[in-house]
Amino acid sequence: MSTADDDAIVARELTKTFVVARKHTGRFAGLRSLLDPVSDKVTVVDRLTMRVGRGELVALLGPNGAGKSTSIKMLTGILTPTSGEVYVDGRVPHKDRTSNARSIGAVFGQKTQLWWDLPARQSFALLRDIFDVPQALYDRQIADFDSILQLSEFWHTPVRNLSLGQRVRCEMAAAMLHDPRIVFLDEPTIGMDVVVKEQTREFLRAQVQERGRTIVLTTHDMTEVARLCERVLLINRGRLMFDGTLTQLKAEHGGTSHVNVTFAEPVNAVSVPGTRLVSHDGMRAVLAPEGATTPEDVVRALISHYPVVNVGVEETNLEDLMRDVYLAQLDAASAASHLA
Amino acid sequence: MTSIVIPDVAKRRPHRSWRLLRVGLLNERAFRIRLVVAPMMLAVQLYLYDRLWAAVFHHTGKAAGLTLKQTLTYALMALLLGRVRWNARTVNVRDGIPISVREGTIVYWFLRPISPGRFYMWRQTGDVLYGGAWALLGYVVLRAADVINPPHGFNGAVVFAISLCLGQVVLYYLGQIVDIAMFWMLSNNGLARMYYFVQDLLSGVFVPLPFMPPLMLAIATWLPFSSGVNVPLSLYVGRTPLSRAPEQLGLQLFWCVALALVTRWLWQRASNRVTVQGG
Ligand SMILES: Nc1ncnc2c1ncn2[C@@H]1O[C@H](COP(=O)(O)OP(=O)(O)OP(=O)(O)O)[C@@H](O)[C@H]1O
Ligand SMILES: [Mg+2]
Repeated sequence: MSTADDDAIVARELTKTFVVARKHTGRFAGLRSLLDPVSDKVTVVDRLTMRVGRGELVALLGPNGAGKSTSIKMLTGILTPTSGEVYVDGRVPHKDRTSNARSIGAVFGQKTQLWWDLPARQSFALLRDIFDVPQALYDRQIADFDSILQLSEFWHTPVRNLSLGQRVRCEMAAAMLHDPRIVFLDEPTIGMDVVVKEQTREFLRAQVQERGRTIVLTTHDMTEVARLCERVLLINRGRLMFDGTLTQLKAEHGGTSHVNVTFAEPVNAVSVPGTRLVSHDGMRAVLAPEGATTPEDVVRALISHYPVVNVGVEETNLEDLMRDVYLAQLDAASAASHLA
Repeated sequence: MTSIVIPDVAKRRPHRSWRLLRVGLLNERAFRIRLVVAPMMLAVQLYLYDRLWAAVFHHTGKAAGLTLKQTLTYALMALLLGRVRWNARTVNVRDGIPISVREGTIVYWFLRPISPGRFYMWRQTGDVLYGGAWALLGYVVLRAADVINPPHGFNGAVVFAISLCLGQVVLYYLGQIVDIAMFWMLSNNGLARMYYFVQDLLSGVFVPLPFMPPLMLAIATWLPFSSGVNVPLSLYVGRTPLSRAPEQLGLQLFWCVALALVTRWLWQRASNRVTVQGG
């Protein structure tokens, strides 16, 4: 099998296990931790296998603590995987850090790589020197970034005085200054207002479509994902749960719509064949049609069996979809652990 | 897909990273007030030390084998030398190791085409050159006012210059070891300050080493700290005769090599630590 020079990113059975010291509790806990150290192994990324083609824009999704950032740290070569293989731009990132640095760029949302007390423009110039970016390319990149992200409005201000949204825009420019083929963005849109988010999306789209960059981003903003990414990778508890388009995800997780119903008087149990009860609190209930059941079927069944005063059909938004997916996976996981 | 020809930067070797030298100056310029405060602080320190030592020598012509003028030369130049690495003590520097490790921005050090050690070196060198410029200015002023002695002839000046440079290398490595230790002791500002106090004391910044009690002096002589300040200044003021210069320079050279090896080993451990434990 080739190491896939043709793909931007290849990961096979990528696993990261952290060893964490277990805290003793009770009397002399500190002393006992020192004398009798006990450690646990926590598998944070569990046999992750994935491919990302060149020029793709992929979202890495998952609930908090799912292992997204850890995966990105392995893909960027900061972390060494415990086991498994990884190739980024044809290289093993953690083995060949300095050459890898030229093919990749990264933004870790909350962490800045800009010099705190200097204007962003100075940081760009310093990064130009560190990455040895030819002046002509540098000038073009700066003009290019500025035209969409409007950095020149504030790039003479020291970074410490920038607003979060302004800083993150500079951060993104800084990560792409050296013209990397592959860019990793860990929650880049954190703290941005809607206008800036739209700017950022336009910027990322342009980087992919016009410059052929590959972008992997993590975010909790589903609107972002819907507008930007063709493909999503869903991670939960370190495992890849889904790899495909959002449309497929919706199809797989059933209910693209919910039926909201209000009753004239409290109802003890709501049960409609071919639906799942999403919530119920006496006077109100939310049902999700499953399988071949349509929302219209549900409405008809409700009206004929219950004292309905109001009923409406609502398209599931992405946030709800993700919540359902995460919760369903939690249920599946706890069911599995009960069986074991 | 792309209509513009993108030059292939992937194969270029970094050769402009030395320009990081300017960060020290830029950082300093960002707080203009420091440009005024630094020389003022220095002037106050120098003046107070001058008065202090004049008082010590009030009733005696010679102490610890030094005349007043020799002592002043040593003590004031030691202050100036302390100034050289003032900004290079990175406890409070945003892009230094301690804060970068604590805030996690250290991950970016591993995403660059130059090694973290090289980045560190250029940053430090910039800070040292900046501090060195102040020290040189101070030296010129003190010499012009004839508060301190000139070097002992041409040979004395050359030997001092070499010893001074070796001493700076020793201090550079010592500071680097303290910095790298931050990878393990995430926030030990207190420990770092404590360390720098000991370093200043045992290198001769606070009090010329010849004034120390015999035991402390013996310890200080066998530790690397004295290579930073005491060795070059003892040669400068003539407390150590020039005939003993080869042995003294040899000792400094030994520390340079030994500490360089330790530093290198520590960097490997530190980057392993980042890559095993997570940034
Ligand atoms: N160095 C470490 N040592 C031990 N555990 C760690 C370490 N780094 C991360 N973890 C654990 O690994 C899990 C995954 O963390 P990670 O940061 O990858 O999550 P994430 O998917 O990025 O979450 P979020 O959406 O909150 O950013 C978490 O439970 C975290 O506590
Ligand atoms: Mg994260």
